[in-house]
Amino acid sequence: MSEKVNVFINGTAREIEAGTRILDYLISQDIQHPHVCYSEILGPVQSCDTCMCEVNGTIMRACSTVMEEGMNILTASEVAKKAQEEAMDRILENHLLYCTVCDNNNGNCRVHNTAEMMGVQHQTRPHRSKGYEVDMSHPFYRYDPDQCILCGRCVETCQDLQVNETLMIDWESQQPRVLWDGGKSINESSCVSCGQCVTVCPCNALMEKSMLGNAGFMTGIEDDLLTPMIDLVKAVEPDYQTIFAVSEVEAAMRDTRIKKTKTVCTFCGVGCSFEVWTKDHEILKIEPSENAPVNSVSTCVKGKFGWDFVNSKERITTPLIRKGDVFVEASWDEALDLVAEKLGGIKDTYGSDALGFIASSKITNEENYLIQKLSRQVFGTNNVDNCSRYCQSPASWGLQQTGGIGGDSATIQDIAGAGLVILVGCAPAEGHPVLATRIKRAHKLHGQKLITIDVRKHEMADRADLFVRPRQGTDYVWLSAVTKYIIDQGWHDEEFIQKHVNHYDEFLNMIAPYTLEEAERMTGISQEALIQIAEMIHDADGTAICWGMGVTQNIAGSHTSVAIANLLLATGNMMRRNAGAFPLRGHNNVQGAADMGTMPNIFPGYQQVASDEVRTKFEKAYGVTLPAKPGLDNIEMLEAIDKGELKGMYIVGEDMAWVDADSNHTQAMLAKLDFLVVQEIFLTTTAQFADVILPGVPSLEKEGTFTNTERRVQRLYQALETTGDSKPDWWILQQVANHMGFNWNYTHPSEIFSEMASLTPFFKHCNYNVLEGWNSFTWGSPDGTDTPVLYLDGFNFPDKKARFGLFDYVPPVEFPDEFDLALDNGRLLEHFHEGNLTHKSEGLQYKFPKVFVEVSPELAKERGVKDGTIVRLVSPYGAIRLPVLVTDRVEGKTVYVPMHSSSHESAVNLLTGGAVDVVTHTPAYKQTKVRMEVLEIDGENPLPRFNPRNATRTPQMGLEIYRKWERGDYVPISSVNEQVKPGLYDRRNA
Amino acid sequence: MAQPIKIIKKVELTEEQQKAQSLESLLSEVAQNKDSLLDTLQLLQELHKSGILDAMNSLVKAKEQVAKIAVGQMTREPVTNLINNAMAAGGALTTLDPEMTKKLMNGVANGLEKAEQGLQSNSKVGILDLLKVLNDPDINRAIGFGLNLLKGVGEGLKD
Repeated sequence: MSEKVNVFINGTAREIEAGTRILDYLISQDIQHPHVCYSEILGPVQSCDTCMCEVNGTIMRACSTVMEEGMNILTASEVAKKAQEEAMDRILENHLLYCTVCDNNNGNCRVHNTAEMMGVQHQTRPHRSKGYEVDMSHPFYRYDPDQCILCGRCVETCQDLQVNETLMIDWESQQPRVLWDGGKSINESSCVSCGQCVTVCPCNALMEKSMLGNAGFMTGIEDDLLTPMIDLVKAVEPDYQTIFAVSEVEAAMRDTRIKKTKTVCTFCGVGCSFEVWTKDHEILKIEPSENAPVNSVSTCVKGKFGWDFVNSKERITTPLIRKGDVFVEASWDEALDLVAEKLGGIKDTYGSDALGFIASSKITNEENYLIQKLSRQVFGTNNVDNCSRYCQSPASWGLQQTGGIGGDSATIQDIAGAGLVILVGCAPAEGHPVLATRIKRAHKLHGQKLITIDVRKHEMADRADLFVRPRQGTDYVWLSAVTKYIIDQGWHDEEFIQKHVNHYDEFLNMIAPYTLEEAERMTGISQEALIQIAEMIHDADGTAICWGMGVTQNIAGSHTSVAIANLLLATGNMMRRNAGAFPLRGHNNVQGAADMGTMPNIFPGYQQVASDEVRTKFEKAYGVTLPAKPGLDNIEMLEAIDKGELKGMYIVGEDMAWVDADSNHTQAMLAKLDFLVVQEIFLTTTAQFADVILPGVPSLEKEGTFTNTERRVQRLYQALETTGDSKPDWWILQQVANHMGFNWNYTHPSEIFSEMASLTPFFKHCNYNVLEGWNSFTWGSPDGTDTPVLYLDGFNFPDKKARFGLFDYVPPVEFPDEFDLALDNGRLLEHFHEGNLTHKSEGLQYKFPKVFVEVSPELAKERGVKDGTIVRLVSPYGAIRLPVLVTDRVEGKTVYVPMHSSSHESAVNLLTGGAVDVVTHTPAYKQTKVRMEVLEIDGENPLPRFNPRNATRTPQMGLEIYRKWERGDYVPISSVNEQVKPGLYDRRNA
Repeated sequence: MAQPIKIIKKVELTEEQQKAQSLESLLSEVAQNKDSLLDTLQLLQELHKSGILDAMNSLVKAKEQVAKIAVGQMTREPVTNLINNAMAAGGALTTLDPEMTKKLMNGVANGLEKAEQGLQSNSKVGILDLLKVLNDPDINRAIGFGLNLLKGVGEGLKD
């Protein structure tokens, strides 16, 4: 039992949990009370002063006052009301209430709603301009100082929640306002366009440009009419309740034509959910919600602003059939008949295994389930795979070997709550931005420690307590050496190991050779640094290790993932909260695609196709005999094409031509197929090789579920009508099956999910009702219950014990000496994957127009290149041509190329190739060496001047509200003005 | 060998085909909404006959101009004063107690009747008569009411 205190609230005695703040309690009891700046996420910002109460006769803020025994709290006494009204009057001096012609009048404007709730009639301080221009410089949002109430929610969010540290308020100036980097235009600042400031703005001072003139019935009016109308309202001075009433009528009208639909983001594996606001087929804005289980109000630039592709004119909106050297539009029946005839013909002539199916990490669980069903039931082959083969299969495999389940061992809250986070070969501030914010916040406010281990010095390296650059591909070695050192020092968790982990003695033998000296020699990491890593793990209450492609896209990717799990097991960092293993999934449904069994050896839920018992279950459900032998993976399928064994392929939503390594080879193989079906939304390079293109739809035009990196299943609802003659991908797959003579009869994705769950123990207790609205389900228990943290009841093996993995180090591949530069590659914040989606956004292209090669200052000096110099990079597999960007993010002879190109001139996978992970065949994209030829010395800097990477952040601890109180002209309302330490009330583990 | 194709040959509908397609979809809508359409046609006919339709058409065509003129007119000071007065008066009236108003109105009506009777009698009123009638309870109540009313108005003017 937690401690209680007894207080009086408006004369009523109440027993309340000790430590509760007044406002939190009022909110929890649905007692209406004014407040503008407070947020359960940010805690008390203490800037708006509207939440004043009378507490034991003095005036106190409800947001920051913790209730104490015997307190007498009056929320609406004359004294309290007068204080609240004074505060609102000060706000309205800064904000003009032209609600009816304001694009933010959508029923959720906090300033409007609070003023109305308080019954404000008039103001004593007239509204006055602050004397600053509206800042329209940024492509995605604008700031209007004259509407800004200086509540500082945006500053608090930028500094301490997103932790990009750009916004501030200059409290000391004559007329404070929000500043970007201390006074730059928004566009030229370090702002990374995450949009969270706009989301938390309680009025219309910060607005998405897509909303302006678009949301209201009268907001599209030209300025020469709008200004007189606002003047009229001002001159007439109606009492505000009349204004509110009229604007509410208008807001209600808007509600009939603006559709608000919950969806799940598709730009990485974090699984942000939010509402998308649409008007007909136009996307007005993305509106995050505190109800979202993963991201709350947070987004990144792509999730908030990157959806232009949905309405791109380049969408394929009708089935296309290859005829001679053009694609010709066709009806669905023509296209489906042809698909059935050709694929059926190949099956009849060459056998089932002459066909291959590629599913997608971008489509839904239901669609992935149907693809494996189509492949196995309809066409009789296990040749089915998905693109996790290109990224995270080694991590899944490594975790299956050690703990039994191939997924993150806990949630994003556990990463935030860990005492130490170690990032290995991943750059979450670029690739998983919202997840990175949670680490940055914990690091800034809660004393979390951060170690970053990467060959490239990205933002999380800048912020780390310890940043280490290992030799490429040697992570296995330092992981094993640190584990050995910890055990040698007696810092391991002997009791945990004895009780919960098998193979300890064999493991000790295996890591015996990895002394600190040996590790230093092999990895290039100093012994001091290795010891420091060990000490930091030892000192931390909970270590969470996140890793990405820097680990998995190596030939030792699988074994290195095991080494990570071994380290966590040895130190007792599994089977608990605020610790664990976190392979960061790169796409919205990487986890789900594998979960749904679009892999050659497993049915949904990792049930082995080789198991007679499992197969019998599926044979009974599918009414056919199923093949027992595992099929071919992506890589093997291409080999089989080369050997003439694989004749037909069906690829859904994957631009394999660019995302597989060695693109020249991949494209040559696609050209060799007898028949290729591609289900796509754009004419991608892969689709250009197709014989039939079937137009699917993006996530906003269909229903389904995605599974994020936490194993969390979330529903997406249909926000928009399908475009043209395009169809939901599940509908298309059903039609293909039915044209092959089967009788699939799903009318809604929920029925597909139910069928899957009935065959898959992990999902036994999950269905569309469980997932309603903002609800979610994290799979991970054999009994099929919700399991945010894995293994709390034992590991997923028959004896419930984990296993130290006993897999050896595999050194990186060697290249001929002429290839003297190590080629690192990956993704950067503004774009997704090869760019097929994000290149359609004008704003994103403006901020990040083209790819480049990052060259270290020392290499630039040696080769005589500078920003904008055009170079050719040549590997044994191909060559690309692109401009140079000189930066100390890379060091020495390492160069870095972002993967966001689908051009034959600059796509990085023209260079990669050859080697693959020893277990899972994931291409060793990161083990590529190149040589550099200088083509033209002078050229344009590929990174625009106004890209945030060119600006310097301006960190401070939140809003620093005390600086406002220190102003000579500040007249306090509250009896006490004491700053609450940022993050003090963060309920991250509540 | 399948070479990559970047060209999509769109099915180009002839003008006739496009027209036919449009008409077809229109006809199916008409068939589905026969009753409401007939009602609407009748209404339109009436509006047309009376000339209202013609006027509305012109008004809508000139909507931007009209709105600007209207708003321009309304922002003139006499008009904003008028609106403010109307709103102030409206606001003042809403604070009156309807019961009291009713009583007052009854009193005034009754007073007018008595005054009419007084006029008819055509008798002269002297100073003594004035002092005498102060004792009359009805007159005393009316004078008290008047004095208090004046006090209230005075207070209201102070702010």
